[in-house]
Amino acid sequence: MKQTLLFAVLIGLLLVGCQHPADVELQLEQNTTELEILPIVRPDTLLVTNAVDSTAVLPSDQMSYVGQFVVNKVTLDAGPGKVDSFAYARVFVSDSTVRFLFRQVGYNGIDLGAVLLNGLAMAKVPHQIAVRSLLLRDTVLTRGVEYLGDLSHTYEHSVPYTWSAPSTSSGALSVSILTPDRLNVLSPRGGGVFSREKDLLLWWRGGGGQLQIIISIFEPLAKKSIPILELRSRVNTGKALLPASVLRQFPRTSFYVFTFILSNRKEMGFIQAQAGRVLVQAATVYNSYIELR
Amino acid sequence: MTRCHATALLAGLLMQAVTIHGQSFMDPRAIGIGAFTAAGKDSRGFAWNPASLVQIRDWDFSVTTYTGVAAENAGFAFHGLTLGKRFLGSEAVAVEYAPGTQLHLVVPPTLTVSGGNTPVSNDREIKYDEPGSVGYAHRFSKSLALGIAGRYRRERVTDTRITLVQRDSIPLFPVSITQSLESSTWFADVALLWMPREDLSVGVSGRNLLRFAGASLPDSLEWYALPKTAIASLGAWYQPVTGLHLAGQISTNGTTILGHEWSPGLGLSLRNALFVVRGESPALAAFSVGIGWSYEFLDVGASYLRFTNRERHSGVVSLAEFDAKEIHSLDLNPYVRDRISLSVRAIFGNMRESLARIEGVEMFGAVYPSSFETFAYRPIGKARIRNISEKPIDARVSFFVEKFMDAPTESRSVTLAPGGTAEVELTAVFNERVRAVAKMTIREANILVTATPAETFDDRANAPVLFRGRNEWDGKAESLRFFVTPDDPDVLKSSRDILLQQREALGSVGAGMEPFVKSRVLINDFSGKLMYVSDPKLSADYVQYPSETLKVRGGDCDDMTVCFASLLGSVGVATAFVDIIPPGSPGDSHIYLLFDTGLDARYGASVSENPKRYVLRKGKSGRETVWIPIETTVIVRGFDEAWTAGAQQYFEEVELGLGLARGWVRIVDVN
Repeated sequence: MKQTLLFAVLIGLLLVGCQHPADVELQLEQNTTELEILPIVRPDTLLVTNAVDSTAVLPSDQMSYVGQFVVNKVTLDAGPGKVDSFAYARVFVSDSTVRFLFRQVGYNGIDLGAVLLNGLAMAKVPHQIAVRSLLLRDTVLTRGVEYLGDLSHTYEHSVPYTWSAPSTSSGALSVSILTPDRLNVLSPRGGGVFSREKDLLLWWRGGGGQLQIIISIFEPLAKKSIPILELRSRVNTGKALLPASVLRQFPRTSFYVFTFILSNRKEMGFIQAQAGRVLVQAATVYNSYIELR
Repeated sequence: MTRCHATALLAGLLMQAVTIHGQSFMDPRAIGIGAFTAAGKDSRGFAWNPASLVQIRDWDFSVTTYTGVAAENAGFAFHGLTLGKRFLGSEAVAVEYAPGTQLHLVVPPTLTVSGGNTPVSNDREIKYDEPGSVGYAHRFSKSLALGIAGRYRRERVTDTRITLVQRDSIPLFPVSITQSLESSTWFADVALLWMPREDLSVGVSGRNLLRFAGASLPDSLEWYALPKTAIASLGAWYQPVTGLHLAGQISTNGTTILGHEWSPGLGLSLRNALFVVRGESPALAAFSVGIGWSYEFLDVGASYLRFTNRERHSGVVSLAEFDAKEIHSLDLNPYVRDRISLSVRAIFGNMRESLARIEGVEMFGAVYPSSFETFAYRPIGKARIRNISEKPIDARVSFFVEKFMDAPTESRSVTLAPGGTAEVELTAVFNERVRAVAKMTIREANILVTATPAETFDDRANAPVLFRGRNEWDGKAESLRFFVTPDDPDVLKSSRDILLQQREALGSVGAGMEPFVKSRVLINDFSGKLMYVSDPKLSADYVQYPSETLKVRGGDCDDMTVCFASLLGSVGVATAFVDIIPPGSPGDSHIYLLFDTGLDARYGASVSENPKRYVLRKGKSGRETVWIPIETTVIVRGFDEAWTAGAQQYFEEVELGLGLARGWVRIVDVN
């Protein structure tokens, strides 16, 4: 009995604290971050633009805001020797929808009076709405105004940009946003050809802010991009992997653009003819035009 | 199974070997020794060599747990338990439940689908486990055992895939699908354990010799499938000195394991092993240390296994470097981490462990009925015994021959260190039945060694004992005296009758001369009644007892010498044999008689004026007295002639030939 008790105690000691044996982690690539994959809703293309590669605003966001104050630095990387970049600012606030042949085709741009960006006046230009229909192809309607500024030679990273409109109908308006860090994409580099059968390494340099990667089909002849998926980095470690199992499910077209967006965003209320929220965004955008086989 | 069959099977197993050998490490002793193929001695680690199961005693039960040593993987995990049972003496079975014999690999997620409240990631888990084993062993002989084992292995891949589906206004909508795929296989192993000597064991095992596959992984996941090739290993377990065992093991493609176990006493065992793997960097892939302590029915063990390539065994491995085909053991492979293992083993049941073993018995010679009493204090043989336990023991050896002994005789207690040996002399107290053995007989002696308190014996052995016929003699003068029977009723009656007839004549003899005169009367009287004849057996090793000589009225010199020594002894006269083995001609050996007159040496002239006719020597009393030499071969001519012949012979052989000084003449006191 004494021996049995002793044995039971020893067995108990061993069994107490039973834990699961430790796992062994098979690391895909050092310091990769987990990406969140999201669908992209495509509203009526008459109301939105698919050119996320230059606007850095998703179609769904275009629909949800009544206006945008945007300053973007955009790099287009189509391969060695085919890298171009530009920077611009755009202000557009809508107050009513535009209908044509019983269809909603766009918005009317509000005239905010003089709009200054860091004290420099932005150009007020007509807001044009391209209308495509079976009856009237490539018709352009002009409804209201929008404001543009070319910052290609003056854009600076990590500095505040301030819009001011002293004489809007609802009073003076001022809003600021800090431009994000530089963004450089090391993989996939533009012009590269990648296999759908291998995991695609996404490798960038540029810290701060939230990183989005918009994957778009690219039509080289029309020079149009159509966004199909959005990826968001949970932690900006500069590396992520897009598994081959996902790449294989992409449409069978060859050309894609991976748009890396490092952005600072905020919203502000705006009450005029059409109440709603306005998107204020400063973004660094890097587009890699690649081929998937 | 013959040794030839065993050799053929061993060769076959070796020929099957094609890859690195790896085994389950569900035992700290196995980890500590490393080279365990020939080192198993119970149910623990029977996967290394199921033939070792034959060494378990009765019920054998062990539990093992282990933990990592790094902070992130510390915490004990249940490794498993083993239950073994020996039955019918030479059969043994064991089962092992080992949920801890597993390798769990995780491929971290790259994508997460944030649908609803529970995001789903596309991670992948690969789990290999061998949760169950069964083993069976059969002992063909004391030195050869065969074992077979079956192991159940599962390989499971749980894969979460992200699928892109089309929906209204959404070109690609990510959804997650989790899929779990599993393969299962039963493997059969065969092993041999050969124990040619107490200090040497050789083991050979062949693993994965047979496979019974159930479900298998699809081709897309075949990359994760473990190798199923046949494996073999050859190991040896050797004890060069008491308490120290050396172990070695090789596999045919370059894995070498060296280990040792040192038992300093008090139930402690210290272990150490080195694992050398060809192709690994460094070649010394791992080392281990271990400690064990056994007390009565319990055995506690601990071990520490450390890998030398710290980067590879860090718990994080690049997927690009991962190769499932390198995993031949779930406990010892390039991906496991350092670990500490603990185990407790218990023995149940009635089949106890022997503490001592009889390694050999040597009998010194035959038992002559005439001198059987001498074996009560003179060794009849010796037994070589060994302490086969891991603690000091006190052992005794008993000797028993049925019918000729009333009870076993037992030796003194001998203390033996663990593994120590001793030679113990065997004595025997025979009963009177031995004296009745008419002709040469062989009986089986039963020798037992007892070391365990309250147990009958720990080991037993048999040895043949040769019993000579009652009249057989080994030719030694010392043995001849055992034929002298002064208390024999026939002898007593004969001597009394003669002395009674000479009562009046003897009455006038002075007290000092009485022994001399009585001896003369007896010899003179019997000289006319007895006749010297040659040995009826025509050999020197046949001696008649005095009663037989008196009955047949004759005998050879041995018989006559014995008979007159008995007659004189019956009337209180001390006698001695003069044993002569002439140098250069031992075949002419001869025995005659001396008797003690009891006269002080100063009074030698009382019996003869010639001092060459008597011998002065010290008898039992320590006093120098006068002894008369009697040549029994001429005793039929009367006392005087026998005396004269004896005295002359004694003078020539002892005084002139210096036989006593040179050792070819010996005087053996009869009483």
